[in-house]
Amino acid sequence: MSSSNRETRWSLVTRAQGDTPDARLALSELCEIYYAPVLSYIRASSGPDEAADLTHAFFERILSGDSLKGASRERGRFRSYLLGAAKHFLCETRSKEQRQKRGRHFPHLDFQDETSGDDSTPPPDAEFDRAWACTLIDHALHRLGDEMERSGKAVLFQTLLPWLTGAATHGDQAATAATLGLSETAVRVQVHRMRKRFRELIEAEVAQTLEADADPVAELRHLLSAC
Amino acid sequence: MNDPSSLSCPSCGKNLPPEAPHGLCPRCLLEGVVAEPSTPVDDSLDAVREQFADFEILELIGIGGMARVYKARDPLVDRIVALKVLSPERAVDPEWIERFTREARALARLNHPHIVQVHRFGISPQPHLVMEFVDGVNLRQAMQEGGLSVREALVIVPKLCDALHFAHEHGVLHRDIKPENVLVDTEGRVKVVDFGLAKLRDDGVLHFTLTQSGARLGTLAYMAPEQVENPSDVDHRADIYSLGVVLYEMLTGELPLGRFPSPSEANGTDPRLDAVVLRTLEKKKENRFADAETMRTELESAAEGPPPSKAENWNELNYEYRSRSQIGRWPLLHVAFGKNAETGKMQHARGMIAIGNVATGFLSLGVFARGLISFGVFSVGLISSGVLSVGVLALGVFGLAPLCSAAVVAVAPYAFGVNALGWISAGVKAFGKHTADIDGPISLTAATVADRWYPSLMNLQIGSVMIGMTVFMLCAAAAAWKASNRRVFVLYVALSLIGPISLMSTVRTKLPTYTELYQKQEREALRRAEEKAKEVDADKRKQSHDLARHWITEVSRTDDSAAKEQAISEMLNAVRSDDPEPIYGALSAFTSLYEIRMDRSPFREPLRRLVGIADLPWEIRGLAITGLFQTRYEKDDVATILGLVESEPVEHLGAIASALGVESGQDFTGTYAAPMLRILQRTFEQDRERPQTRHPWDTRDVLRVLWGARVTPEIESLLVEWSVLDSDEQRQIDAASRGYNVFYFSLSVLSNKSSISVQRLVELARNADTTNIAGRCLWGMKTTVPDPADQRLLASSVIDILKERNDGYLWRQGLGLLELYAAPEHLPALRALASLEELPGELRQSLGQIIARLSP
Repeated sequence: MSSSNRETRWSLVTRAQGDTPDARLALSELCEIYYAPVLSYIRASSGPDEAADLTHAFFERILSGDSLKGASRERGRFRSYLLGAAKHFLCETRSKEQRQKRGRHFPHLDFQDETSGDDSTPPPDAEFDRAWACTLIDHALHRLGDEMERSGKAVLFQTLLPWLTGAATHGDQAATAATLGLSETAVRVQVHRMRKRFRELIEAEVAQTLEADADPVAELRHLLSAC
Repeated sequence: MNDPSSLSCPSCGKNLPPEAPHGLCPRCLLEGVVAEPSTPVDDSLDAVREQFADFEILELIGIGGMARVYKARDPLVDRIVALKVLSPERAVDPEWIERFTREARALARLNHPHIVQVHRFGISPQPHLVMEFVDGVNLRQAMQEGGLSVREALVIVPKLCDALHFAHEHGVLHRDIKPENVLVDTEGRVKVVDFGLAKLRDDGVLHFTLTQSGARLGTLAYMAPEQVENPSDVDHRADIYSLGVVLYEMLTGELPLGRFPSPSEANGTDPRLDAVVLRTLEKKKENRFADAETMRTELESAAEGPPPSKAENWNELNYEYRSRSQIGRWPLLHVAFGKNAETGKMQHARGMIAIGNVATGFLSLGVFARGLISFGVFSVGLISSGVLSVGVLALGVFGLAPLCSAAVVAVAPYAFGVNALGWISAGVKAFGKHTADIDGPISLTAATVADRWYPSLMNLQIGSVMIGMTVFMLCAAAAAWKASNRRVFVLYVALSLIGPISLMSTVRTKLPTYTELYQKQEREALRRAEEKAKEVDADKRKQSHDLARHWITEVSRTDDSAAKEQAISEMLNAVRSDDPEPIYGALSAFTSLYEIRMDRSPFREPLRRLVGIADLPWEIRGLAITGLFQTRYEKDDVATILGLVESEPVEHLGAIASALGVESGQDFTGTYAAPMLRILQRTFEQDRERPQTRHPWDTRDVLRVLWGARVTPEIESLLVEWSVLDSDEQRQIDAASRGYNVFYFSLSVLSNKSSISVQRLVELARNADTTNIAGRCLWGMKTTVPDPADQRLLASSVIDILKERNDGYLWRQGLGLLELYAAPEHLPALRALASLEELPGELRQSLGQIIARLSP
């Protein structure tokens, strides 16, 4: 996680464009981050057998070529862009296969037209979004864990982590409070703070994937609907 | 978490995706984030930094309708503070500035650990407050981590109560108590914040036109009904209501809207808290807790107390009646049972006639009653009656009074009761200065007072207790009826019957008055004193008798003249002494030794001295007189004696008579006839008047002087008259008659019987008692009837008597008389007598000898 709050995914994408070593580093970072959502999507679209190979091919192609050219922050959400790219890649791959087999024409999918079609996302898209959300959450949680570890609250983080889902009951709370040597109310305060920080972190993660003025809450709501 | 796909989220129940970060449900994680209100946009931060260059503005931590709150550092004191700045758009409105100022003033008054502290207030450059920074979250945020447990609520709410009570005490109403305005931190501290809507008591009525919602101040769900309906009529109980909503929400996670269930019904929280929660949420403020302090106490005691019982409490019989007619400020009649909805305390009946649990009035009845006339379990009044009563006049079971008490246990200057303690006290057990105790000592003062007042006071006491209890119970029953509490109603009606039943069943017995008891006690005391004195006297007298016996023995000795002289000398010394007992002993011995030859002349002067001491006990003086006349007395002595005939009491006349007998040689026909007659008259009068059965003195002391004496016909007549005392219709007496002593000691043994005596004796010779009376008559007349005419008459009478009697003793006495007094003229009658066939030979022979002597 070398990127700061200020560096967005789009800036990574911008950096990744070109043929410089920095661009390659940025690109590999992007691939590392978003491997899971793409894998989920391709698995949902093409089945589990060739998903890993296709995903690999997708990122290989992105890493090796200039397929990111033309992608810029002004053009929308990075999630939509990446999904579009994946779709495009799959489409191309399939039409090539079809052409090789029967020469049948598949409709051309232009990812640029997909930007506003999220509401009717078919299941493979949902898989992508869910994996995307999980990826973001995972990043946010990692950062939260790191932060708390740095301030000597590793135990607190580990103990209170399940509380972020709101899964705790009163009995748990009393036991947890006893474990931590805190009052129940103090545990609530700590959980609330963790949640607040987690929110800030996840919002930051989301914001990195959005255009400059976009509302991260709307994106979060979208991701929530996918989960 | 090894195989997340097989797991489901414990919160939402959905399957966890394989990618689930840290094994947590991504949906729930995101939901928590999305549900959270967004962090305020701090577009004002730069402007604020510019305006408040003195502070290091760190971040925006809250935006309200009125102001924004920043976390800031005050470099001057190196302190993190909360800087609350009135929103720029509000800052131009004087009314909002006024409200902001009010918050500052309110907070400035309130230095309390659970109220956020204000450090500074300023108007420029923007109206702002520098406050204590609380490093925590608000209660709303805390509650998002699940509903609070009872335990947590019981930690937080009492602190809020303290804070509110403190604010209320200082004249500040918060008016916007809600979870958002309560902060908690990691240390468990609780702070009430945002006094932006606070009302200060000295503000007077506020007229707000500005409200956030356009409706009312405060957040609607947390506002008390009266705050919604009539904001100007809001008092501290509105805050209590709001706190109740917060408490309800803390416990249940829900707001108490509409017909809401009790917390325990809503989600099974501790039912012990239900009553407290519901009371704070009473729609009518009068029914809520009177103050936050009470709420806290009730909450804590409810949490520690036993589970609520379904049993009805008689204190909950809320009933009140107030008559319309009033005297002064008080209604004529005020009945009030149960608890006051406003204060939560027992209702207080106040009226000319006041009836209730707590009653104050001219006439008051209650568990606690006070008034001019009060009746109650605990009563205080001018006249009070009850189980424990205090008053000028205190009646009942335990009575304490500065004047008078009539009670089972009474303590007062004038105390009457089963147990009475007082200056003047009367009762079964009485303690005090003047007591009238049934069993113990009775003073005349207490007895007199008790007899005058006790009966009426006791009637008053019993009456007041019974009537008071009955009336009170009936009123309580009426209250129970109104409260639809049938069980308690029946109980009270039953209790109200105790009074009348007790009155009816009270057995009225006539008890002796204390005066009677006092008199009895006095008699008893006198009797005991007399007995005691007698015992002492008897003891002394016994010693005197022993001494007398010793002297008699010694003086009677013929073998030891020295011992005899010694004894006489001792007797003389004793007679000369002033000690009555040795004198008595010596005189007893001296008079008993009248037959012994000795020189009595040395005794004469001492005896004269004793005779002259008028207040000497008579038994001594009598003996002295007797003794004096055993010495060679002189004419003066006789004159002294004669002087006593009229003056001495009758019971002393025996000794005088005895002395006269010595002087006269028992001849009372000459000089001494008159004094002797006088003595006899006085004695006879006394004997005639005294009751037959009692003999405090002995007539025989006088009468035996006449044994063998010569007397005048006047004396004889007196004796005859005396001898008729206690006689029957035939003028016959028996040995128990008062006339018997006269007959026995005097009349029958006179030595010169005239016809007066003879006639009476002949009459008595017909008495059925031969041995004591009839025989003695005949025996006594032998040689004592000097007149021949009397003799002849006597002989005839004897012959007549013997004809009718056949017992030997009488015959022998009769024949003895005939031998002396029969004349030839009696021969026919004598022969007739001798012809009686059943006559024993011995008597016939004696009779024959008489006849033979008389026969020519």
